[in-house]
Order: sequence, then C-alpha cells, then structure tokens
Amino acid sequence: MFARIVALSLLAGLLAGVVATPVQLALVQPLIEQAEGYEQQLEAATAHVHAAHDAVAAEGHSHEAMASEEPSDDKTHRAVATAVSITLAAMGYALLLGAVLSQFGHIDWRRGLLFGALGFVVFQLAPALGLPPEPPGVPAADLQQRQLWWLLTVACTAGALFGLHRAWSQRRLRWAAGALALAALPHLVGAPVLAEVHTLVPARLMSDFMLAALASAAVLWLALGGVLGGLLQRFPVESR
Amino acid sequence: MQLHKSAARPIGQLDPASAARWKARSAALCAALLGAVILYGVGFAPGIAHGESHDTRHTMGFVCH
Repeated sequence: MFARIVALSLLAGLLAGVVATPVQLALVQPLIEQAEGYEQQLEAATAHVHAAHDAVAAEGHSHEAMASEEPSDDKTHRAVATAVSITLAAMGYALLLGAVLSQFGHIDWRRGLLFGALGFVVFQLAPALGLPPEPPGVPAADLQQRQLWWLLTVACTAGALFGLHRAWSQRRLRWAAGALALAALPHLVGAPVLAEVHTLVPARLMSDFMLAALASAAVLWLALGGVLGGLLQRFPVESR
Repeated sequence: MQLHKSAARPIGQLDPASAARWKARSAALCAALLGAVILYGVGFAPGIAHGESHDTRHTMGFVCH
C-alpha cells in the first residue's frame, strides 16, 4: 500500500512538474529576472553607504551570503534547474496529497482536482494572505518568525478544512464555527512584517510577481490533483 | 480451579478491520513524511541545491531567507 501511494504520487508529481514548468518559465521567470536587476542596484547602493544601510542589508532578502546559493548565470542551466526543482517540489506535495487521498474510499480525477485546489488553499493561498510570494530584492521580517507563522497558517487552515468536513458529514454547526475560528486565527495573530521596507523593486512588479507566482502554483496544484485522482481511480490502493 | 479459555483476543492483536485501517493510516503517514523530507530538501538544502532551486522557492513561497 505504501509502495503504491509513493509510486502513484511520484508519477503524478512528475506529470504536474511537466505541466507547471512552462508556466513558471513563461510567467514568473521574466519577473524574477527583472527584480534581480533592482536587487543588484540596491546591493550596489548599500555597498556605497554601507554604514547607514547596514540593517537593511542584514535583514534584506539579499543573496550575497554564498555564491553557491545563487542561481546559475547560464539561462539553459537555470531553466533546467528550475524544471527539476519544481518537479521535485510537486513530488513532495504529491506525497502529502496522496497520503490524504488514500484515506478515502472512492477517488476519481474530479475529487483529485478538488483536493488539489484545497492543497493550493492550504499551502499557497492562506499563507499568501500574510506572507505573499515576493520576488528577489524585497526585504522581509525575521526568518524564524515568518517560518513559525507559515507553519501555524498551514496547520490551522488544514485543520479548519478537516473540521468543516466533519461539520458537514455529522451535521454539527459547532464544528463549523470552530473550523472557521481556527482558519481565522493566524490572520488575527498577524504575519510578521517589516515596519518599513527599503527596496528598489517597484510595487507594480511586486504585485505582478505575486499574481504570477500564485497562478503558477495553482496550475501545479490543479494538475497534481487531477492527475493523482485519475491515477488512484485507475489503480486504487488496497481497500481499507 | 479451571481456567476458562477466554474469547478475547490476545493483547496486541486487532480485529481485521482495525488492522487494515491502521495499515492504511501508517502507510499514508510514511508517504506524507517522505513528501515532507523532499519538500524540505527542495526548500532548505544548503549549498549548490539551494541556488538551483532559487526560482522555484520564490514561486512556491518557501520561507527560507
């Protein structure tokens, strides 16, 4: 059973990666490269007035830490690296999705698509309400606080969806109220943000990037859900 | 005194339905853990892999910097 979940999930992740890669390269990649231009300008500027902008450089989403953390200068190399890593990310999410879907009796591509959409809500949309995806060159708040908030949001949103499912299947209004409160909790707490953001990246580019990134992630999740649902329909895991 | 043979199953043995459910749950949990490890690798592996996954991390909103 474990082997079948893993095999089907990895296959679905591979196919979703194949679907999402061209979207990523066409939609998001040009925006990242634009933003990197501004990022380099900012780094040059901060190098000039180092003392004054020390705090900015330290907090900033700057990539000066290690050369090996930089993406390759070679365009083809970079595109291939992105294709591979986005496919690996799709495989990782596919295993989470496969684990959930395997717990349901009947799965088809429609149900898979629905759960893919829910995965998008849990892992992309809900965290994006507080921490929207940002292009390079945009400073962000303390890393650990953001990671903690991200985990809290994912856990609360997933828990809320489970609660809503319970509320629906058992006709319990109290579960629904609790689920909604749980979903709202991280947003009431509030995501950690900087009081002041020093960046050269224009606001328009930031919002364009956010939409492009979310669209690209949505394509990945929907492809993942549809394909994995279809695969589980064709090759069901052992019945419970 | 004669000991009656108990109808109860020995400790640790589940009825088939629960056993199957546990099997399904643990298989799913292991698959999910594997997925989490892969995601962690893509998002947070230091060194060369981190540069290669740069654009993916930005798109997927990984909180890694």
